[in-house]
Amino acid sequence: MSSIDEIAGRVSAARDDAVARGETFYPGPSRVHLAAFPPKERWDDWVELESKDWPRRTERRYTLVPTTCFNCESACGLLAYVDQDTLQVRKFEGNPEHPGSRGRNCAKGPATINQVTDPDRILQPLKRTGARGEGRWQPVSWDEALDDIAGRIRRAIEEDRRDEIMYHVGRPGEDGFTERVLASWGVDGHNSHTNVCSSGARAGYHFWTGIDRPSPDHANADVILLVSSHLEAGHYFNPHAQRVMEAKQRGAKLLVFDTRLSNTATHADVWVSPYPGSEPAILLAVASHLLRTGRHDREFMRRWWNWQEYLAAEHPDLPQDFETFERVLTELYAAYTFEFAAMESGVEPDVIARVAELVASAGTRLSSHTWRSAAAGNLGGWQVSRTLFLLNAMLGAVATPGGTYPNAWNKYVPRPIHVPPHPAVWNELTWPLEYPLALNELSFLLPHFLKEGRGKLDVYFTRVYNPVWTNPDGLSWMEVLTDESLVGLHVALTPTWSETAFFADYVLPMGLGPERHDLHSYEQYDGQWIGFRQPVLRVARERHGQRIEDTRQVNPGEVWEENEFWIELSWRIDPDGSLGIRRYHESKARPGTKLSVDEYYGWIFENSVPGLPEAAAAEGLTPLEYMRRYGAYEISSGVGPVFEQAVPADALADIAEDRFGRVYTGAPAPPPLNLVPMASPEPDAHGRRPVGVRVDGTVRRGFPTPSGKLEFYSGTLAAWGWAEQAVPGYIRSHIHPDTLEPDQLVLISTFRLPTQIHTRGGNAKWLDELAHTNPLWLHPADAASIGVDTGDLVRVETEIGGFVVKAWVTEGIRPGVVACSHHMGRWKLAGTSGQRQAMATVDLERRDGAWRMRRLAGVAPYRSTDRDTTRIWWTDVGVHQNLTFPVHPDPVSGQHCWHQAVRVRRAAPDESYGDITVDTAKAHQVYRQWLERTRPATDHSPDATRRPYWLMRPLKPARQHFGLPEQGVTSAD
Amino acid sequence: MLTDRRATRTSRAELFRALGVFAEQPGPAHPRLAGLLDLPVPSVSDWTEGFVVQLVPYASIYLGTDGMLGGEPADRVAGFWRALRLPVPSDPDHLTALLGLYASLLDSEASELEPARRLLWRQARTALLHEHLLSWLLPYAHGMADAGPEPYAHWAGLLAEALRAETAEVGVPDRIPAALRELPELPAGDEAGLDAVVSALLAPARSGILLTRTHLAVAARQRRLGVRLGDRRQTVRALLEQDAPAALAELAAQARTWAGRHHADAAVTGPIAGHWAARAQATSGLLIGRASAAGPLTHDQERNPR
Repeated sequence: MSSIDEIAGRVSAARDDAVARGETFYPGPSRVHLAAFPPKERWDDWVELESKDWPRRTERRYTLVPTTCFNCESACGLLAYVDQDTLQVRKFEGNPEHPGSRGRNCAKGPATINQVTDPDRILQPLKRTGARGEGRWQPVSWDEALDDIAGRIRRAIEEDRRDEIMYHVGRPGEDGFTERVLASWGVDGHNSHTNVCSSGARAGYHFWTGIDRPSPDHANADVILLVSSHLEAGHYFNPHAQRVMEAKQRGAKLLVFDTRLSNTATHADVWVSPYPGSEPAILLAVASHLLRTGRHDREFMRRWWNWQEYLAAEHPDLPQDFETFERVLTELYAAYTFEFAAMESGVEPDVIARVAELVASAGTRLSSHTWRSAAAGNLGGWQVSRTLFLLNAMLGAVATPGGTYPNAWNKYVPRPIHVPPHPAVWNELTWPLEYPLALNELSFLLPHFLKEGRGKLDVYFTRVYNPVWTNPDGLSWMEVLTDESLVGLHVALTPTWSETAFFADYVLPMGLGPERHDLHSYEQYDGQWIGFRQPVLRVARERHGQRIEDTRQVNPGEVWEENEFWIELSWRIDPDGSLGIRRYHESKARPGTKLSVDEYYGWIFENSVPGLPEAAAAEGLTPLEYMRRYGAYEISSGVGPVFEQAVPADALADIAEDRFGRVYTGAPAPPPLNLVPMASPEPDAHGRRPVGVRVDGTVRRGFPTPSGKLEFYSGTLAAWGWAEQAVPGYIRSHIHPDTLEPDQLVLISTFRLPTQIHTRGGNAKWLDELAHTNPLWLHPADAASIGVDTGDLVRVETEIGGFVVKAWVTEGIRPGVVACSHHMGRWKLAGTSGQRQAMATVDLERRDGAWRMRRLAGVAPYRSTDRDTTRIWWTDVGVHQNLTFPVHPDPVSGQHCWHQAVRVRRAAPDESYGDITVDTAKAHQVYRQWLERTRPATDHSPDATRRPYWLMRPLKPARQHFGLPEQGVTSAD
Repeated sequence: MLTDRRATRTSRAELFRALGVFAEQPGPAHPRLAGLLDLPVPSVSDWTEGFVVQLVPYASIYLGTDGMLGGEPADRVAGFWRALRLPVPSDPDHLTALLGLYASLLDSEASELEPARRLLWRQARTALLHEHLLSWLLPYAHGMADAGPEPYAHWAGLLAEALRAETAEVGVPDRIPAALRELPELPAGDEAGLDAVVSALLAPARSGILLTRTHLAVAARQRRLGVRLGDRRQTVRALLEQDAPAALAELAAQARTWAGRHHADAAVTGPIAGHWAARAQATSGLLIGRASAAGPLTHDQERNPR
């Protein structure tokens, strides 16, 4: 051995030893590792200079504790710097051990410290004392609140009024905990925000793959095609943006479809600004180009599309072979020429041709993505994701390096300690008969359902969710929330004041990211990881030898965390176990006693996360200790094309096969450790479960669709009354030019500000300082015709009212379209408390049947425990436009179609900034009009069920409760 | 970066990674690394002297036409990262980034089970070694050995030894790297202005010599000339203004020494050493010719008064 190899061996052995000890061998910044993080072996005692003492060099000692950001859904890792002298968090930085965010954060992550120290945050349980919305509160003990709420829930369960219990969640930030709580209560009361957010996009992906989210491998793509700026500039901003930029740095092309010049579009190689809703026309033109030029992956399509099913259903008289299918497909999309797409979209044909060529050049390295944006803006928006994924399916860029994966293969939801059964009840307030194919609850129609007398709520939880402000038609929400005959008890679980919490009976302070436990996993690359959110002060104190039994011991004020809250509430609902609820919240180690969060997560980490116990043992830790120390664990990377995996022989017993190759087995399925949500195709007539699909003689795992293949042709859509939409197609939007009056424009209202995050960002002073207004984007041509310039006030009139906002004249938007950002326009009623950095004070009155809101004051400096509040220099907080939008439920996906046809004019002299008018009677009329577009299960169900059983549903009732109700009966029971 | 913690790591890769980290500003890792590498522990002022004052560690400086940072040589290195489908770092041609990349390729090759893919990794690694490391790093290491503080002079020796060991494994380059092809010769003849000559002298791949501040100070000391403080261009000019024949003769002598060193590297870098040696020899000849020409050289400005 040469001396050089002796030295090399020495270095290598030293690194191995360091890694085995859980230490960092190369701490500090380096171009070799791009690392500049505190080495993990020094997280117990990290020294930094006190910045406020500069120029004196005062050393401060910190305990560094990982947790997860609770702002958007990315779940980026944070590292809390807990001051050892004060045992308070001083700052948050990125967690280098987190596989998704890799030590990086957007502005929202470090701003968590603002939320923790927000002088206006809610620190104790409050109970309403006056009328709902009057703003009078008194402190109440947790015991009193829990007993009251639990008593009502128990009575509702005992009296079989389970549908009167509802939990309404914004972004959950966890994977399935609360669904299981509701299941343990036997309640079908889960209500998510998803139909105002992503259900349109989800539906399109789901009809293709049986999985409702994509996982684009941006980092390895040659071409990145985004029909949105949403996730890359908002939701999965940090994990996605860093990977998009990596791809760009090595030469990948970025194509962005966005009517507005978004942050993402500014980085694009090709920015396409289509007329809103025309995106599928462009995508189909690209698809047609691929077919015409023979650039599609014939072999992938032949093996993995359900083309046989399509030919059998739609062209039974033609030869049933792939060549015929290719010919039919080419003819099917022949009308989608570049010229047609240009006519629909207003984008030049040569630009569309360039996009088509770039897509064709990507081969299997096309990563594509859409979320909200066009899919959430338009009638038929679900066809945006369906036509986008069509391109991946044509190129074979499915679960390939640089392609797009179904998210279920890049996500891991470990089996928990208890799994309650599916509830034996169907809640029609969330899953009405008119929307049998909706992927998520018709959450935003709740006020109209209640007004129509479809039901009522006895206990309604809003959990870190603000429908009065976030949803369309917020004043209809306010009307039902103030009607105690419709909503008996409203419990707002929230860390901060919101427009919805004002109308609660109890406001219960919930923990922020560093004050609560949650477990989650999100698709951000081709790998599976879990992230652990944890109360960092609890962990820091435990590291210093203290024993913490209840997170309220360490959280500010009486702020609690949700897991302990739900366990405690469940025990109080069923104190003696007679309802069968308590057993799902009991310790396994000590039967009959309450389950602790340590046991809950310890059991999961010990039993349901492959590799974690071994990784922990290698460092002399228990799995729970490992997760408390590092905050994340990567289970696998390079998962690859799961659908291609051959089904093992022992899973193929007593098999049956249909004529298209779907294979069913009588062999029982082993209980899965990974409970990631995906569709559940139905068994065959003899009860055999679908196990795979035969492809060229081999039974492969395939996709969780009825056919086991990628469903170009959705037999489900065809069977449930939507045969004309069974293949990827183009639905003209409700704001298509043909539907507009000559003086109308289109308003885009869905886009995000990268430094805000709905209600959750409003209690962060740094974020408020960065972004606190939402002017109306207006093209110079439109501004000229209206006669306004930047800064002038304009009134935007919708179907049910209008709002007054400032104009921003920009070429960053196409003519005929205006745009106004969500996230802004927070308000509080005069005389009520609220979040003073982000909320304007308003007067709200009802006159002649219409609501009128006027802004009394913007924000202003004020004295508080935080001296920075005296330095607030801005007064503007934007305008709450969502109040003026009626509901537009898509008849297939159930997604609210956000785009609005509006008229914009110069504001009249008596109109002021922030003025809002709304007619909720008109809003109800619009709801009724959109309801007429539906094709209800009662008229179109092919099998007397309410909904295709195989479709995903966040909380799924038992199979026998899918039956259509008998006439005049509104519940399956 | 290719830093999959689950990939097989080779000892050689770890050596290159360690050599790269050692060339970064001293931090907590350096005392441990110094012990493992048998090197003195450097101070921050050592690092500043070695990598800021004497030899700035970017390939483009040593391979470019003008001896400047960035430009075509840096783009060429960035293209190599892209060809490997890797994100291009902000300093793609920085010495430590290149050593980190080389270590990653070593690990990737060792981790690859499929023979054809393993061969591709090896080809990538060989290309990096031949095109972007050996093209400048042995002369750079010689320069650091001359001019660097003790820890980095030793480090340079270890780096050169590691590169030689790698060449012994993958083979000596059989062609001259793209970066060294078609580099302009040094300006010759009386018509070449002083500025052009000085610029060419300070472009190592053109002149074949590395003129650090230390090398210039040595030249001044040998000929009892004063050293003007300032950038190296000004220092060379000042030497020539004081006594052009003497200064040119001394620089010619240094060029001869460089030529000899390059020749000695021929067993390791083949045509690369040939290029450097030929350029150093030519530089020596040019400077001798200038030195023997009648009269002192004058500034361009003096030839063409404004």
